[in-house]
Amino acid sequence: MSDVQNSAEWFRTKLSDLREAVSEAVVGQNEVVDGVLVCLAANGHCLLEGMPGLGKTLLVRTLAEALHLGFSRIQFTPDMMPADVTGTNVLAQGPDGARTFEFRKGPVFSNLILADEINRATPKTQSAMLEAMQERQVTVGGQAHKLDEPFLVMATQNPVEQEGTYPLPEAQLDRFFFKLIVPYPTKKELEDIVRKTTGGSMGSVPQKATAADIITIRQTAKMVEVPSTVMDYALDIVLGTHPEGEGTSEVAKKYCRYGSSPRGAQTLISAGKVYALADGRFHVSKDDVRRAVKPALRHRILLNFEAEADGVSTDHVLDEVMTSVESRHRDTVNI
Amino acid sequence: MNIIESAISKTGQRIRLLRGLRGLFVGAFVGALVCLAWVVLDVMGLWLTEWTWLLAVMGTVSVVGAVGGWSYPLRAEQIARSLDTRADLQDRATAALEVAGKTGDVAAAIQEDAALHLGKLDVSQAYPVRLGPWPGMAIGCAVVASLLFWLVNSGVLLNPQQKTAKKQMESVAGQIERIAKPLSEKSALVEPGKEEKDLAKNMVDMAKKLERGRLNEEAAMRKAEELTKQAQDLAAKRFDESQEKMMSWQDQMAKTELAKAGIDQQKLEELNLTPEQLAMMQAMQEKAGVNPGQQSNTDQRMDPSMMDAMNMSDSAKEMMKMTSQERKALSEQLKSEMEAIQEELKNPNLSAEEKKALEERMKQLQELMKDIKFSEDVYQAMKDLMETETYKELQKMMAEMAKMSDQVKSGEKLSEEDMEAMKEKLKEMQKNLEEWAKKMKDPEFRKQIEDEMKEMLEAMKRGELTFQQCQNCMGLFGMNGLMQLPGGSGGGGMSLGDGENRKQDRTEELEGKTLPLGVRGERDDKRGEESYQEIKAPTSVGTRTSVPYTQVLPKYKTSAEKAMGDRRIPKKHEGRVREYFESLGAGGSDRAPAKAPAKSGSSR
Repeated sequence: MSDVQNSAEWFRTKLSDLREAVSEAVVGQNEVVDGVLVCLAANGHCLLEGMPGLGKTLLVRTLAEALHLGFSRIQFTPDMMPADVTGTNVLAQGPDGARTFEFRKGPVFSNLILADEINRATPKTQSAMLEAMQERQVTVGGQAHKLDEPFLVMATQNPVEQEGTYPLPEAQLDRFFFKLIVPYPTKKELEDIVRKTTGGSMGSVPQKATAADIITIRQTAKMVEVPSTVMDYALDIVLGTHPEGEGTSEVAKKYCRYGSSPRGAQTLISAGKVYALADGRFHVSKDDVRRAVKPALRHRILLNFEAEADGVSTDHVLDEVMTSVESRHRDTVNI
Repeated sequence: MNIIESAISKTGQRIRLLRGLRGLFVGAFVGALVCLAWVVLDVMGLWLTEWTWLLAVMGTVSVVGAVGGWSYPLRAEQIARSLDTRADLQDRATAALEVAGKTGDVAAAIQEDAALHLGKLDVSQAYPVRLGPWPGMAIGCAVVASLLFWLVNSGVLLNPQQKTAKKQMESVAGQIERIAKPLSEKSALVEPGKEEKDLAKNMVDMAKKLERGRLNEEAAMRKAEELTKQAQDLAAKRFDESQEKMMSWQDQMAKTELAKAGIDQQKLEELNLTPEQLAMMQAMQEKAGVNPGQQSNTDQRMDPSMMDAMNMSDSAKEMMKMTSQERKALSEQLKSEMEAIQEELKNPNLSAEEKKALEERMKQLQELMKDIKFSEDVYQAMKDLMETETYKELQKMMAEMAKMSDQVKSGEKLSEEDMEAMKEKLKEMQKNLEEWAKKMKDPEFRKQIEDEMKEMLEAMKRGELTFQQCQNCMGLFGMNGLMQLPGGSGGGGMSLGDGENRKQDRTEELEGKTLPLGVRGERDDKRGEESYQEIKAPTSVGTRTSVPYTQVLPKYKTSAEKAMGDRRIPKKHEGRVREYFESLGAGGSDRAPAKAPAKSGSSR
C-alpha cells in the first residue's frame, strides 16, 4: 500500500472515529454531523439552521471535545459589540507600575467557535465576526492578530422569532462553506435523546484527533483528483442556478433572483474531495458533488418573489437544477 | 494492455455488438416498411414485386442498419462514462482514463482502484441485450407485408373460374416472357437498343401482371395491342434503317463504279435512280457513245429558267437534259421494274413493312415515269411551238420592238428610269414566254393560242386593234407587259393614264406577287377624267393555282366586305370594290379562270 493510500486510510479512520465520538453524544442528525465534519476537513465554516433545542450546541461542543480543541461559544445579542467578539486593548499596569495597552483576546480566539443566533447581532458585530472567519485574523488598534488553526466557526440561526433580528446579507452568507439544516429528530431518536439526557450524567467524549490531525486531514483532502466530466457536472450545476447566461436552467430562470457565486463551485469540489476520500477514492465522483449540492448552494442562491409566492424552497430549485444537468450528463452511448 | 484498457475495449465491443443488433432490427423495421409500401404498390398494379425482391430489400436494409450500428463512432471517453453510469463505478473508469498518462501516487492509486473495480466487472451484465420495440415492430410489419402479398398473389381468394383464368393468363405470360427475353439480350450480331429494351421491359411487365392476374381480359387486350403497335413500329423503323443502310452500301458501290466511268454523280443523284438503273444507264451511255459530261441538244434549247417557270421537278429537269434515246431506255427500265414490283406485291407472304416499302418504291417509279412523260411533252410542245409560223412572227415582232425601244433610247427622250423599266419588261416578256411554254403542254391551248395570235396579228395589221388591246390579249396568254411601251412616270404598268394623276401618284412593285405595277394613292377627282383598266384574269407570274376562282371568290368578297365594315377602305372607293365583286360574280360562274377574257372599262 502506498503512502497516499495509507493517508487515505488514516483519513477515513479519523473521520470515522470523530463521527462515532459525536454520535455518542448527539443522537441522530447524521447528515448534519457529516456536514460539520466535511466543513472541518475542507477548512470551511458552517451555518446551522434549526429550531432551538435540536442539539446544535451539543454537536459543536462534542466535536470540540473529540478533537480536544479550544471551544468558544458566543451568544449573539443586539447589544453585542465587535470588541465583544474579537477582543480589545485594555490599559494594564505592569509590575513596575508602568501602564500599557494590552490586547485582550475575544472569544473568537479559539479553534471551534459556536456563534449562536448570529442573526441577532447587529450588522456591525456580524461583520467583525465574518471578517475573522474570512481573513482568519483580527485587527484591533491597527494590529493584526492571527487566529489559531484549525479555526472553525459554526453559526446557528433560528428560522423563527425573526423580530429584532438582522438577517445575514448574501455576501456574508456566501462565506459559510455549508448551510446545514438541523431537522427534528425522529421518534426513535427522540426517545434515545430523552433516555440519554434524563437518565444519568452524560459521559465524557474521548479525544479522537488533534489539531495537527485536522491540518493533515485538510492537506490530504486536497490531493484528490477531479475528472473533467465531474468538474463539468459541478460547474453545470452552479451555472444552472443562474437565472440567465450560459447553462441556465428553466427553474432558475423562473425562481432565482441571483445564482451561486464561484465560491459555490469551489465548495462543491472541495466537499466532493472530502466525500471521495472518506469513501476511499482519490477522485471525486458525480455522486460526491451531488451530495454536496444542497448544503453548499442552498444559502448561495437568492429566490425571487415568485418563488416565495409559489412556496418554492431553495432545495427544490436545486433538485430541479440537478435533474436538468443530469439530463445533459447522461450516458451518451445510447443503447 | 492493462485492465482498464482491456475493460474499455471489451465494453466497446459489447456496445458495438448491441448497436449492431439494434441497427439490424431498426433496419429490418425500415425494410419491412419499405416492403409493405412496395406490396401496396404491387396490389395497386403500379410496381410489381416478388418474394425474392421483398426479402432482398428487407435483408439489405437490415444489413445496412447492422453495419451502421456496428460502425457508429464510439470514443473511449464515451465508453468510460457509460461504464461508470451503468456499472455504478463512481466515475472510476473516467478518472482512470484521465490520469492514464500521469505519474504519481494519486494517479497510480486511482488506476489501481479503477482496475480493482473494472476487473470484477461483468460487461454483459452492465450491457444486457435490450433491443427495445424494434424487433417486434419489424416482425409485425414484415408479417403484414407478407400476408398481404401472399393473399393477393396466391389466388387463395379466387373462385375456381378465376383460378382457371389465372392459369391461362400465366401460360400466356410465359409465352410473352419467352418472346421478350431475346429482345433485351445481346447477341453476337445485334445489340439491343433502348427502344428494344423498353419494349422488352414493357412485355415483361405485362407478363408479370398477367401471371399475377392483375390485368383483366380487356386491359390485357388493350395492353397487347399497344405493345403490338409498339413492336410493329419498331420493326418498321428497324426495317427502314436496314434498308437505308443497304441502299447506302449499294449506292456507295454504284457511285464508285460510276465515278470510274466519269459520270456526273450529283445529277444522277437528283434522279433518285436505283443503283441498278444507274448501272444500266451507264451501260447505255457507253453503248450509245455519249460522253456523260456533255449535255444534249435539248438542254441547249431549253433555258433552265424556263424549266423553273414550268415548275419542273429536279428529276424532270435532268431528264430534259437527256436524249430521247436515253429517256426511252430509262422509261423501259422503269417499266420493267414497276412490273416486277407489281408481281412482288401479289405475293401473299409479304410482311406489312415489306409491302409498304415496295409500294413506296412503286410510287417513286411512277413519279419518275411522270417526269419522263412530262419532259417528253414539253420537248414536243417546244418543238411544235418553235416550228409554228406565229411563233416565228412573234419572235420577229419582239425583235422589232426591242429595236424600237433602242431607237427611243437613242432619241434621248427617255429617262434612265424608263430605260430600266423597258429592260425589265423585256425580261418579263421572256418569263411570260416561259410560262406560256408551260401552258403549251395542253394541245388544245396551243391551238387556241395559235388561232388567237393569228387573229390578233391580222387585226394589228389591219389596224383594227389598238396597241392597248393587243397588250391585253398578250396578258391573256400570260405575256403581260410584252407589248408595253414605257409611259409617263405616274402611270406605269396596267394604267396607261393620260397624265392626269402623275403628280400625286407613285408607282411601286407589288411585293413580287405580280409583275404589273400597281398605282397607290388618292385619286384626285378635281383633275378630271382618268382612265384605268382592270384585267380580270389570273396573275401571269408566280405559281399558278389550280383552284377555280369561283370557289375562293365568296371568301374574298366576305373579306372585302369586312374591310369595308372596318373602314379600312376609303369610303369613296367602296363603290368600286362592290362593283368589282358584282362583276366577277356575274361573269365568273361560267368561265374557267385561265381562259377568262380581259375586261376593260373606264370610270371616273
